[in-house]
Amino acid sequence: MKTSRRTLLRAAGVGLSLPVLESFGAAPSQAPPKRMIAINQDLGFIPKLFFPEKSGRGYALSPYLEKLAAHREQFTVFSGLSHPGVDGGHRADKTFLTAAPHPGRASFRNSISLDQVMANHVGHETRFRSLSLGINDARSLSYTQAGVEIPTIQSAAELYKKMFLQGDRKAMEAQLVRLKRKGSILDVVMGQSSDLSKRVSGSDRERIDQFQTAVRSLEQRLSEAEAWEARPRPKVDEAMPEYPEDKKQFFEMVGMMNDMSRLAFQTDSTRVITLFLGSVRTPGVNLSGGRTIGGYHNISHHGKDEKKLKQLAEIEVGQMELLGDLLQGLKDVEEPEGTLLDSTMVLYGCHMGDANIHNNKNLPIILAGGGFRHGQHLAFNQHNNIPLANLYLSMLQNMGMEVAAFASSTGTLHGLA
Amino acid sequence: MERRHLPRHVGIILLCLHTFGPSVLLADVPGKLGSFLEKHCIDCHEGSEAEGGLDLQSLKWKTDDAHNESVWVKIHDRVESGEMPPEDGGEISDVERKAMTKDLSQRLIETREKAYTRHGRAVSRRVNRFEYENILRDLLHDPYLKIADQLPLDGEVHGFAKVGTALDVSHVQVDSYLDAAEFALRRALEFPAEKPRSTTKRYYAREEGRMWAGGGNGGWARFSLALEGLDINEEYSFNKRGFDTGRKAGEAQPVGTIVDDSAAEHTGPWRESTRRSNHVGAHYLADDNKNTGAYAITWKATLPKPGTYEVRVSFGGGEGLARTAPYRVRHAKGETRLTIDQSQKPTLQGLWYPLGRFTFGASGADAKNEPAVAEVSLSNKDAGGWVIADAVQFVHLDELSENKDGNTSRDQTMPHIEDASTAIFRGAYTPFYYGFEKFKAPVRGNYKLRLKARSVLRHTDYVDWEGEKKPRHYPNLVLDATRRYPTPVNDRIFAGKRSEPVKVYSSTLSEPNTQSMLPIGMFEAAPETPEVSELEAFLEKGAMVKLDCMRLPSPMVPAMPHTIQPTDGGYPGVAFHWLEAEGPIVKEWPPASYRTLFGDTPLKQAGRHVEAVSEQPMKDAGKLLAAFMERVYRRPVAEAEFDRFYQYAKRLLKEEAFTEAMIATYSAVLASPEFLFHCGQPGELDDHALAERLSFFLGESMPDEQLRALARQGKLRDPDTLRAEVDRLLDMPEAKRFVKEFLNSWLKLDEINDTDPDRELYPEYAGDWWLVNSMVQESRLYFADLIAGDRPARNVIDADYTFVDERLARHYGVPGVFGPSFHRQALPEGSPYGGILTQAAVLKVTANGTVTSPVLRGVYVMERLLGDPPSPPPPSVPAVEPDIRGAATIRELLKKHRADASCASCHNKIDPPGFALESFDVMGRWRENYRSLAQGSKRIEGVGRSGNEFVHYIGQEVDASGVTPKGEHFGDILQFKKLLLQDEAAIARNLTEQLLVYATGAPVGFADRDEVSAILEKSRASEFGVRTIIHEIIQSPLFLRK
Repeated sequence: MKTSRRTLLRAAGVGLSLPVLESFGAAPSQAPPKRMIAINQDLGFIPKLFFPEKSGRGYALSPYLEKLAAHREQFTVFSGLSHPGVDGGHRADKTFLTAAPHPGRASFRNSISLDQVMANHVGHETRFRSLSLGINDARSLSYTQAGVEIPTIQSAAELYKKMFLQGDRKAMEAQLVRLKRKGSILDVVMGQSSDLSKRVSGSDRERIDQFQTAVRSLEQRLSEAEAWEARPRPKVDEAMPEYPEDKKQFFEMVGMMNDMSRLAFQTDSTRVITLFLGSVRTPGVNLSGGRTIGGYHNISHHGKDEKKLKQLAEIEVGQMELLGDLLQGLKDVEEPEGTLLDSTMVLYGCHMGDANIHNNKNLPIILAGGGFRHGQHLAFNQHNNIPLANLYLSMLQNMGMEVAAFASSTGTLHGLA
Repeated sequence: MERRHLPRHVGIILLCLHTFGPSVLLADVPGKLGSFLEKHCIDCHEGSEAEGGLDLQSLKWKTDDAHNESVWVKIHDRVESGEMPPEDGGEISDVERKAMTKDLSQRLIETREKAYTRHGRAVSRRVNRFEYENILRDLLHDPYLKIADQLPLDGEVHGFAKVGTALDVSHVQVDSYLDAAEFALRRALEFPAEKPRSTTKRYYAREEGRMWAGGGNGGWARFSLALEGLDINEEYSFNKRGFDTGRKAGEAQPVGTIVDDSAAEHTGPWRESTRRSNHVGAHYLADDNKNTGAYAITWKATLPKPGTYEVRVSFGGGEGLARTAPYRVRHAKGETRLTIDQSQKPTLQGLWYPLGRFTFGASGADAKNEPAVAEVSLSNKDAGGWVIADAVQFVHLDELSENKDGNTSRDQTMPHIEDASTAIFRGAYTPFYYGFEKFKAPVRGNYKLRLKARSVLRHTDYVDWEGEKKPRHYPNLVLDATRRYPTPVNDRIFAGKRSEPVKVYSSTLSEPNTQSMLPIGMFEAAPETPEVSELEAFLEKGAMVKLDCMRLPSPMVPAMPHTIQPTDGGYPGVAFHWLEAEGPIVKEWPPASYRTLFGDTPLKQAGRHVEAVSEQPMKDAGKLLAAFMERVYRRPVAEAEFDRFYQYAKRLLKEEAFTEAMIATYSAVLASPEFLFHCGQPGELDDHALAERLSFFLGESMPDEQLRALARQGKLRDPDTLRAEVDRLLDMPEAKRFVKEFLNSWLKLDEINDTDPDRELYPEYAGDWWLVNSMVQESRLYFADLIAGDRPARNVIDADYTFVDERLARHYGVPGVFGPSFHRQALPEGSPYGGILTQAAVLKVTANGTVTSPVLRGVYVMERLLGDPPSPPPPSVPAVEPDIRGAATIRELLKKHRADASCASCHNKIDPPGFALESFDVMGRWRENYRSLAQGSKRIEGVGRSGNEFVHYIGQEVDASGVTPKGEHFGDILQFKKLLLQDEAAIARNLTEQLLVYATGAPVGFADRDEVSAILEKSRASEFGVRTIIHEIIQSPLFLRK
């Protein structure tokens, strides 16, 4: 196997570092790789039901966190975190993982997201550098170095197919031809952009250079894809999910996406996942027992109306229960040292502190798993927030990356070890 | 230079009592500027609590950065206008003031001009995703090609995806360009090699399952009724659900003689199946749709007596079944061969299809009591689809005419198919989308569609069984809280009192999102007699025809129809008779898309596609590629450029089929930077770059042939030619794309569906997306008319006319407008509508569906319509939390907020437009009072447009008065508009600047102000006519230089 893979890579003509594949015989005693999933539920939570009153280890769970009681020692809840300079209400979703300031401003440009920094580090080791997933909304949490949005996979069934459905030989060959074809087109395009770059100057050249970088980076991805195409996909016992079409089946969709994410980690198909839960564009939520609560976005503008607050809380409890299920699912998978949850960082939160006023301060943030010492409420100043990027820096280092800064970070997050 | 900003405001200014010596400050601010700021400004503008969020201590001099420049420009403007330093902040002399602004202004311009010489005002940019889509649409003559959704979102500056600095590229884009190009190119080959024949076929509404709402629920049933003329066919309406009676067919008592497939003799590996429920006996037989001629079956019957029988066969019916199933009937007079279309719905009891009447058995008196032998056979030879063999039925003529067993009476339920209709009493909204689905466009192309329909009115009585021994009768039901469950009875149908507007859509999905369908036309269903309306439309392959009736409510599950208030003394509905589809109407063959890619190269069928067949691939490739590049490049193709792609094509041709090699080569051209980027050189644009800029501005796509020709001849820069070309482009249909995209960005109309009105507070809008679409349409027509009629820019704020259809007219309280078409409509004296400022679409995108916010609307008006964008709120100040419980109005909440001096300085500007617009609800309709959910002067309970029950309260009165920063009072929106109209030049300047960003792909900077003023001066004579402004923009150096 080893030789054939090397040959393949050489044939692809790209010097990518060799992935550590399970079949390469990673020593069984070796610690499992670190993984990360970041989830943004884009309407956030009613603050007083989310945040615990007391801080520290002995804190009392808030009504929402009660739903995670079984995992109390596996997660930390944070308050007083936000991205400095990030404003713009709903529009801040695109900076949840990038921390790029002023998404509402005319001259706004996004920057690389946390998951992509990780993917650049560990992505070559798996079939998918990273997975960007979304439910009920095309928007993504993942952004490239150039600040371009990475499109999301919108269905758990589609994701299942990509990861596990082994095409027949013919399909595989057709795919290889397609990838090679794309590669050859890129050669031509690259030649042209090099010539063009010589003819332009100043900012124009920067634009063309950026294009060239993009082409190179796609070339590399195509060669990786070619190399992986030749390898069989992992087999799983789970059947392909029957992903609902009705947007109101929101909770079912979330559950399925969570299951697929767990399987992705379990089979080491990827180590980095983002999942955008598009609550804003969810027209209503079907609850168990055939009940439906309509107009999720509208009731988030509850205007302090009791009835709306009650409905909103009911949905938000459901969201927390789904997070609880995800954590349980990860916990149920045993790994050489502990469980899958121990090697998986689960970041969960929202870019808005309070949807009723669209503010971007005091964000609701939970970090579970990943081998951190959890079980506490880390409370920071409500009026003078700590950069959320500090937490991201801690996560990057936990991923095994030797980095000293990420976006607006001022250091790693105090109190998290 | 004209004064750009509103002069000196009289807001609350904190006294600057302290004068701390600046420690580290303004180190890098050049020259005298630093000392001016130190002397006059630093006292208030320092540290994190600085006035207006301006902290001079941390402000750098880095004016090549757009945001930094904008801060310095603001400082310049405030000082120049005298707004700063404030009166109580210390005196400065006019000389000092002028010296400072002159110095700052020169420095700002200097930075800009350095950049201009280096790369021009605009940074070279790639096309955005809509432009990419339009180019491919134009190139491939494929006007409905959908590509934009496959490409990642584009970065925006000032809301416009036209500015190079924000149009980044990553591997994601490049990958999706490759996919999108291949998709579009292959689609251009998706047609049958043989020119399709045009056919005309009629589809009856009664046979359409989609025309029936719900199932089995008596309430739901009343959303669609089967009519014969104006009589209700009770059986179909409430039991049978149309002709689709498959499930019940098996229960019907058979008449005559039936021979099932199990009793027939058959050859071939027939498969037994029960998938289609409308069959006789335990199963039916199906072939493999492949081995033609390998399957045969013969039904033999011994009939009780000789005579004439009607022979009927059953085959289920449905998509994919044999279109030319060959039947053979052996009878007394010999043999008759018939070709039957098994894909049609069986006409009798949803089960049987009559082959015809035949005589069996020996003739003559002595043969009377002899049994007669009959034989029917079927094979799958050239059947054109799956063949199904089920049963054959022989019914003697006596049985048919006597009609005695009641079974055949069902055959009589459709004696006058022309009179039969299905009447619909609701609009199309989830879960009920109705239309003609039996028709599926066989190929992509143009079709003529004819619809026969009329309007009707239904009267329904109600009885209430609840708590009464004897049902109470309500001839005129008025719904109230005490009586929620009356049962509808005794429906009667009358001719409609007016025509009903109907919109026609196409979709390839069976249950599409109503907003995702493609509108293809509209008509009015006439009240007196059914009339046939015709429209011509482009349809995708497999597209079906969907309908929606404007005035009809769209109840959601589980609302009951009786909870909807009657109008016009009854429940209006539309009775649909049939759809006739004629097409495809083919004007040229092979299609233009093929000829763009392959010229006259012969073609052959290859699966669902065609393939080009070249005898001299190398030579043809060169010729075709040259023509293709000529078409997609916006400048002359250099020999080396052609060669680059030609070499690639030649390489591919050694291994690949001709068509595949060409698709790959074309894809490469369509992903190349020469194609993707606008690449003018700094300085004056050459003719080609000018043609490019012009056509991407006014047509959102690459230049057409005439523009290219003028560019080649070097004539385009001639001002008169340019003017003529602008006029030509503005009158082209492609200019609609400009209007749409420009308004989507400028007015954020692409956010129109982002929120829905709350159903408790605004029950009358529930599910009314006709209204939402009409709102957007109004804005587009209005702006297009501003251009067409060269109407003054002040019409952005106010006008005495607008464009409405019936629905929008009702929304605006304008009487006397009927029908689905838009008209230019004079507004009544004193109407608050007229002008973009108060268009419903603008008022909807600035509200969130539940509440309106004067702040959000104020910011929008300042930024989008008045060109004076306010600074974002300082981060330390908490936002105002909306409260819809009715105790406090948003105004009262804001009052507290404004008491904070650091908020007041901005809110003095933001709030006035917002206050004036408080008279409009979340959908832009006039209101005197707020509505609230918890308390108010009156409780309102009822049923909304979609049968949605609601309770809300009439809340506090709206107070739309305010004071402008200049200190002028206004009582309402009408007075506020008058105040804004005092400065028409400011309105024109903003529109000019918005258009300039859009047209040139660069923000309008400080250094561009003189040119903007020049454009305005030249437009002044036309009272700042919008068309004139566009002309002057294009004649301006800002447009003519990169």
